Amino acid sequence: MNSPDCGESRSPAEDGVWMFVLGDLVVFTIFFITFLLYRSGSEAAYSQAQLSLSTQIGTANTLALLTSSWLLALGVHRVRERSAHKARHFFLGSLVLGSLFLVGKISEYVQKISAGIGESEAEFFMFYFVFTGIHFVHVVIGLVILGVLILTIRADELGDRHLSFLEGGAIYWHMVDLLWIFLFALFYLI
Amino acid sequence: MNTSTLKTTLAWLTLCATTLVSVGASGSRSVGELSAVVLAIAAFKVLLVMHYFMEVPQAARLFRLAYYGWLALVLAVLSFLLW
Repeated sequence: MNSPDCGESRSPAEDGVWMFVLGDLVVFTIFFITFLLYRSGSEAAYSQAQLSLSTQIGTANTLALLTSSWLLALGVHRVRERSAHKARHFFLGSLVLGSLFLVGKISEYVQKISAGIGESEAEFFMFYFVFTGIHFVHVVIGLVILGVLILTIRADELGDRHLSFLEGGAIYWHMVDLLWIFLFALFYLI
Repeated sequence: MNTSTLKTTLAWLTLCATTLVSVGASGSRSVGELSAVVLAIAAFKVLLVMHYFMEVPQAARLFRLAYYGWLALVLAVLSFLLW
């Protein structure tokens, strides 16, 4: 696999951002392991509970988040080209699709809560609400960060320090996307 | 379209396509091997996000090792637990 062509050899974002994101990945890894350990104890009940989740909404949410992440990556490329106007549009597109993810998630939560949770599926949905809920909070924080980034993109201020700040925010948002890929696989597909 | 935009866009198209493939594969829930396929596809998608969106290859060597090492470890542990 070839490395992305960024045109420069500088490292994107500050080291602190890479450290923070890595820490978050480790925490979610513990979540994934915990879920699969409990699942192995009552696999049939988990598979049955999983059927009441909407794969269509989950898939649509996944595509929305992947597309949001892609637009943000393109936005960062435009920032490097010092094209603030185009970059702002990409960042805004990313924000809109990230917001769509939240709408999809809220509709899923409402749908499930109003349908009720049976005794046999209680454990599955305890993990589902806690882990996707924590991810939901990450998405909200990410959207706030994206909003701040959009407000700060100005052509006359696109120095290396500002670029690093924008890249840091983008790396956080890509982490949100990355974590959802595993959550989607574990809760909806496996 | 410049090279970096093209690569990032191809990665996004691959991510969308593999998402649909994994949803299709999950239709046969009872087969354990298909769970492994879904997990492998998820790990591949994460690799694409790390490589082309997060640009891990451009990060410091320590972080490159940590991120790719994390992914390999997660894939190994989750595969073991699913088996």
